[in-house]
Amino acid sequence: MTHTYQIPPINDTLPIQSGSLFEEIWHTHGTESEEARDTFPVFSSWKSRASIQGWEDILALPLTNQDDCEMDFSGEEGLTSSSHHLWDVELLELQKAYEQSDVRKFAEIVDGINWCTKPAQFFKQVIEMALELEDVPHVRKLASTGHKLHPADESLQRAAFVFAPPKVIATNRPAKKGLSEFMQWFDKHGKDYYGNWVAVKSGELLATATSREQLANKLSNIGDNSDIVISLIK
Amino acid sequence: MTLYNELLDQFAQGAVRYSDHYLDEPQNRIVISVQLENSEFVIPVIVDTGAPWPILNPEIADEIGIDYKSEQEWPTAMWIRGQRYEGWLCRITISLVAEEGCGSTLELEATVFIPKMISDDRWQHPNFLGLDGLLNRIRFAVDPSNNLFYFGTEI
Repeated sequence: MTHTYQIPPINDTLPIQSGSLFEEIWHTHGTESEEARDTFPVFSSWKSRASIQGWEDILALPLTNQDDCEMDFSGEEGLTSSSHHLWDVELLELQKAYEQSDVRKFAEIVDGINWCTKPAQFFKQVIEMALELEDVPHVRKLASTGHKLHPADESLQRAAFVFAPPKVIATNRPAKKGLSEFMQWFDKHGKDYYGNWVAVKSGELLATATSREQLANKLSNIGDNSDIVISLIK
Repeated sequence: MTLYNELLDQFAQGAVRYSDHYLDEPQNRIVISVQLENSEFVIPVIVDTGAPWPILNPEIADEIGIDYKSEQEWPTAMWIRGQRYEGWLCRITISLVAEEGCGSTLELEATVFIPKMISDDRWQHPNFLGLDGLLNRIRFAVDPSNNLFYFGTEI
């Protein structure tokens, strides 16, 4: 798979294109001089980027648009030794920020990296570090982007699945009768039944058991159990 | 429960009463009941915007039949209340259950952390609903005067 690499290197500058999203955000939020307006600081050199609405969209574009990359990801054969050297340097910087638990620095480095040139293993290593730092937004971006750039890699397939944002399945599932009364019961008596299965109806404990089967047996003689709330108190 | 309607219509799709405490823990909490996967029973969970992921007692995961140790899940570790736990991050469905008369139940697919227990160890912490794994993709609000937790569809 061949991609066209168009993303500027770290700390490089990029002229603002007229009518671009860059220009729109620059006009809205930019505070630099007029001269600076002609040269848009890219990624790591724009300190105020995190507070600017829309930045994530900008960041997501170079991270996720694999069509913009000109790099063969079918294997590492096509990569030069200088590329490897850059990865080593970047990985060392990331490792240092990670070991210092410096989440901001770590995020800044991640945001400044040209991910189009990175192999699957690099993504996996940085995902692990981001996880340890509880930097979930970057975990998600790395998993998603890594999977798009390396669709055949099983670990990144798994990462993209596990770290996908929460997804609404249904908004119209039925409500539960007696739930508020159950919560009131839980507030007063829950601590006395830790580790047990309980059945509560209209705020009153109907039955308790140490297993679900045992509780089901105790409830088997009750006709209408639609408003019974069953819970495992753990 | 009559105070929820106005806010419910404008902001949320459902609401449920929450408990102020989790069992015998002295601190104030927001504890609601959720359903996991397709189970018929509810599980009390603490709403915790400081937790990156929802955290689920492994014994409950076993009861539900979640195959969290499979190769499809992601092994990792998390610091929980000052202790580091090995475990897995897994995708499961979580339903924020509405009280009857307070809208409808919201079902989501989310990533949860399930800690690994060694031999006869037992999980000693509550279940949590975390921010990044779930809460930051839905609307939610708290009415402390009525102990109501509102929730709505994703933003």
